[in-house]
Amino acid sequence: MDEITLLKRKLEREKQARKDAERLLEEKALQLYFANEKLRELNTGLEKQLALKSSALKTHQDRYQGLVENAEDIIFWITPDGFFTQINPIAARIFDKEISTLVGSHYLELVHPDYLERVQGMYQRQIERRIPTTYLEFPVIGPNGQSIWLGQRITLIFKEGKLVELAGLARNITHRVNAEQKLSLLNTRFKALLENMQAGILVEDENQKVILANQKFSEIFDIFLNYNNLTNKNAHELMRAIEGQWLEKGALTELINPDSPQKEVIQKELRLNTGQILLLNFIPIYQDQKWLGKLWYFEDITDRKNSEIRIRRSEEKYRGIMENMELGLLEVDKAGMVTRAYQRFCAMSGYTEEELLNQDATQLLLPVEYQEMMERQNKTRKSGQPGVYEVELITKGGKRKWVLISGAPFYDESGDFIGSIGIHYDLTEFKKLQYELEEARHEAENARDAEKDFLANMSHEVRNPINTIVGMTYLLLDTELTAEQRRYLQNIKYTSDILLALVSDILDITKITQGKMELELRELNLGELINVNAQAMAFRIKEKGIHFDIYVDRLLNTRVMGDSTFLNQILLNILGNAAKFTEKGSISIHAQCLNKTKDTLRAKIIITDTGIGIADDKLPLIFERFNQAGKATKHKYGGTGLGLNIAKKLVELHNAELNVQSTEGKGTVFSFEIDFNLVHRSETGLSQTAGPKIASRLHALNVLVVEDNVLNQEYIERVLERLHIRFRTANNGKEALKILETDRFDLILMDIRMPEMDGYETTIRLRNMHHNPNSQVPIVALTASALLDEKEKALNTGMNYHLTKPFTPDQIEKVIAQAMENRVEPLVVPPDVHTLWHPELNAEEIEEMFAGDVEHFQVIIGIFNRTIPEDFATLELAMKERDWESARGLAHKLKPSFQMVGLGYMTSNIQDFEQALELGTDQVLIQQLFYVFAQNVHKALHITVQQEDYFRQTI
Amino acid sequence: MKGIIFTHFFEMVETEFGDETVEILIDSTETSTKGVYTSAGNYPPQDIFNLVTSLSQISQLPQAALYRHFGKYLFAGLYSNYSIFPPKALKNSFSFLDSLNDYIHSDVYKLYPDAELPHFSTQYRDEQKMVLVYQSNRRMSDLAFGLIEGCLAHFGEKASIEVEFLKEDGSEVLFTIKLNSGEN
Repeated sequence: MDEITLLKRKLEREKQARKDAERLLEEKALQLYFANEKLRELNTGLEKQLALKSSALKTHQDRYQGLVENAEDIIFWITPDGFFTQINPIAARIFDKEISTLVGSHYLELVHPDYLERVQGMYQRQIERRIPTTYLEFPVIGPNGQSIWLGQRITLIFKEGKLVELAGLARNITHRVNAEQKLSLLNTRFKALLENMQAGILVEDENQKVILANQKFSEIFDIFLNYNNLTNKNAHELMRAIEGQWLEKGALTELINPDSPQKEVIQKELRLNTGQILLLNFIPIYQDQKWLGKLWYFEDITDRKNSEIRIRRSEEKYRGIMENMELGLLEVDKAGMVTRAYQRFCAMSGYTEEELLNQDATQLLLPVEYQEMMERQNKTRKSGQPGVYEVELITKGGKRKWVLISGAPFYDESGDFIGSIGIHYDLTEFKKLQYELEEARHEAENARDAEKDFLANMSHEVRNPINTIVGMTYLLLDTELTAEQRRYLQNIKYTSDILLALVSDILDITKITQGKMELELRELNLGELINVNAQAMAFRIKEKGIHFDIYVDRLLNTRVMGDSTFLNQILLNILGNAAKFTEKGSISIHAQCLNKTKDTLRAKIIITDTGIGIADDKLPLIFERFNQAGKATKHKYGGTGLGLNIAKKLVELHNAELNVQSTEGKGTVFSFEIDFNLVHRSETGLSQTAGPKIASRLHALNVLVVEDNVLNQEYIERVLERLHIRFRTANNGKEALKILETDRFDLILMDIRMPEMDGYETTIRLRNMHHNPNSQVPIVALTASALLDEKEKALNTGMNYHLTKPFTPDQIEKVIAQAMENRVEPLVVPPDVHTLWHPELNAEEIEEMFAGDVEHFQVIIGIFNRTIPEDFATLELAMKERDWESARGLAHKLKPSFQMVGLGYMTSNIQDFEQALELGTDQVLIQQLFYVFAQNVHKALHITVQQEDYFRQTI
Repeated sequence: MKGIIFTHFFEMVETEFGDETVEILIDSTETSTKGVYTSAGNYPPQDIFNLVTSLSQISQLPQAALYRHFGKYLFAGLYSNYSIFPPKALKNSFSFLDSLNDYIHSDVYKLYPDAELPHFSTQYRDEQKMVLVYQSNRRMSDLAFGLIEGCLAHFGEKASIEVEFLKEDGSEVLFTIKLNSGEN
């Protein structure tokens, strides 16, 4: 084949191939076109379908969203590391948080701290092990920190094999969990209760199968089996097995009889052979009429039973005791209603117990006036305080009976006040007796007051006349007398001395016992004084034919300071006693100087007699007032019986002791030792014998006698005449002041007790009359007694000297001389401090209060007199109404008023009164104190009214 | 059978045996198109069998050798024509062969839905050794052998290839390819 042929053939094939390829391309292009057309159609369909699908998806999503949002469960999505990405509204409600707050927060923030580890561990494991879904219950912290239990399902969500998120569904199961916990607790408690019950319990089902028994059951019946192993045993067989333990055979037969099942709850006391007592509670168990089984409950009540018996016995015993006592017992409850009345109380009140029960004890039994007091008592009782008080009861018969009530609260076992018991003691007899005693006491007091008055009267009514007799006798003895007249006169003097001594004895003992006696020390010759007294008695003793020995140590013949009056009295009383009781033998007085120094001496005086003596047992009595050694003695020997008593007291006043030794029928020895201070001055002072010497010096004097008693006037005037002293006489203070305005005097003899104006006031007024030339005149007080306060008061009001009645002419002369020799500035007492007020008012208090401002004091007294009666009337009213509280307030208010007017001492009683009122318990005491207080108020008003009148008259 | 196989076959005959052999082959072989083929066309597979049988008679070379040679030639041609198909990541013969079915042939089908391609499946593969199973009703394992050789040559690799007929008719053949280590 040549080249051209080859090429032609090749070209021919190429052409052919090109045409084939073009045809193929044409076909392919068409194919492409159609494919394209088809594709376009497909595309349009796809868009439609997409729209359709999208819409379907949206609906689906909306539904899904609605479901999520309205779900009752918490639905959430969470990132694998635990942060919320989406959460539904219920979560917001449960946690009370905004969804926006929850989203982005970590789930562990919500978990209860106690469960953190557990929850976290759980989900870590889920993720690690790729467990698709888990369920867990745990508490979370809700609003206000409360625990909310959730039951949570977590599903892992993967995308392309990778964990992208977790979907959660959580349900609030708090109610269920709580219920479960409660149930569990209840179960535990029930179990514990059952285990620890002090009663044996057995529960059987309707097929008699034991479903429950406790330890105690096994213990009681000594069942060897552990109580847990009793379960499923046949209960009735068990009961039959323990049948033999009952004391009463067949005790339970009826209850385990299957033919007639018990439908009622039965309570039964059963005894075991061992002596134990069991209380059986047999309880059939029904639910909705369906019988489900029985509960056997055995309680060991042996101890309780025994103690009940003991209590009953004890109660019977005490009841017996109480009923046999003279005490009426009444028990009331908190409201005061009678809960029990004992026999004795019934007898006391006249009611039967039935009549008293549930009655208001106060209303029924107490008179109206005691009811308020009783209510207060009841209140106090509730606070646990017992009280004792006297009240009257009204018996059923309407009679009143005085009873003493001791009320005490009583309490229940938990210590709560539940009522009171009142123990009543019939005081009617006692009250009667008390009333009688009171009457008797009253009478006795009246008698004593009468005696006192009598003694006081003696002072003025008896002493003054005797004084006059004695004085006149002295005057008469100074005149020209025959021997016979002189002897008669001596007898008058002797007897009037005795009479005066008697009266003085009585007065002195009163004074001594009142502690108002004081030593009045003056110069005296001790030896001489003893001698004079001995000589004075010598006549009487020798007259009886008794030998009388007198020995006085020469060393005693010296001047000492002593109270001659008292020393005389001591010696005369002892010697008089010896003389009185000695019929034969001898009496001796032995005075000895025991010790003598430069300034002091000690004298011992022994008086011995051979008289009747004193029995040993009577010896301690002889110094008692009005007490002679036996009634027989008094009858035989007479006298006041005061002599030795006075002697003893006076010796004691000298800081010494009167000793007595005696043998009955043989005689008695009295002895005492007294210390004296020596006087060194030469005899320039006044002596008893100095009278006549100084008398001449008194001639030129002009004296004013102020004395209301005519006899005394007479006596004093005679003495002054004898001394050649000029005088004028005034019958009282007022007259005296009048005379003093006109005449000039050198001295005033001033009686104290006088009508119109007494000596004190007269003195003060005179001392304050500064322009009166007599204002400085010395004044001698003439006091009726040796009472210290009278003498002191006299000196304090401005008087200078004093004489105690009765006084001898010598004493008058002496005191005048003394006044003339020692002229002293008299004390001037301003009238507004001391004398202007009633002696009962406390001067110091007033002075402190008003500092001399009399007018102010006068105003206050006026106010006192006008306000106190009214205030007191209010107090009286409160007392009547038994309003102790108000009474206390009023009493308290009254108190300072008394101090203001110088009667503060009267209020010492108020404090007691106030205290008693505050307690309000002791009615008797309250009434007594009020009585005293009322007396004081009346007394005070008496004084202050007098004071006011006095002010009105004088200022 | 795709026209490209025929165009490459004639190219090979033209190159290896000359233009005159091409004319003789066309004249002496019964074909559906009298030797006219375009690469985009599709032709009966009998044409290639007849052509190879004729060429074996003309050239006095065994058919298997002709197929193997043609396979080698074809690989290079196909690779240059269709280099878009194999993924760029394929860096050696084993990964290329491994991806034949899943990647290369699947793409070929997209372009030529009527193409009938052999099926290659990897039974074993490691660094040095690969076991391939060839399946095709056309029973052209020799061509496949040549293609594998072409592939190895393309990646510059040398290997020993063992062939084992899993079916007697040659429709299923096992290729065990062992790389010659040390030379790579």
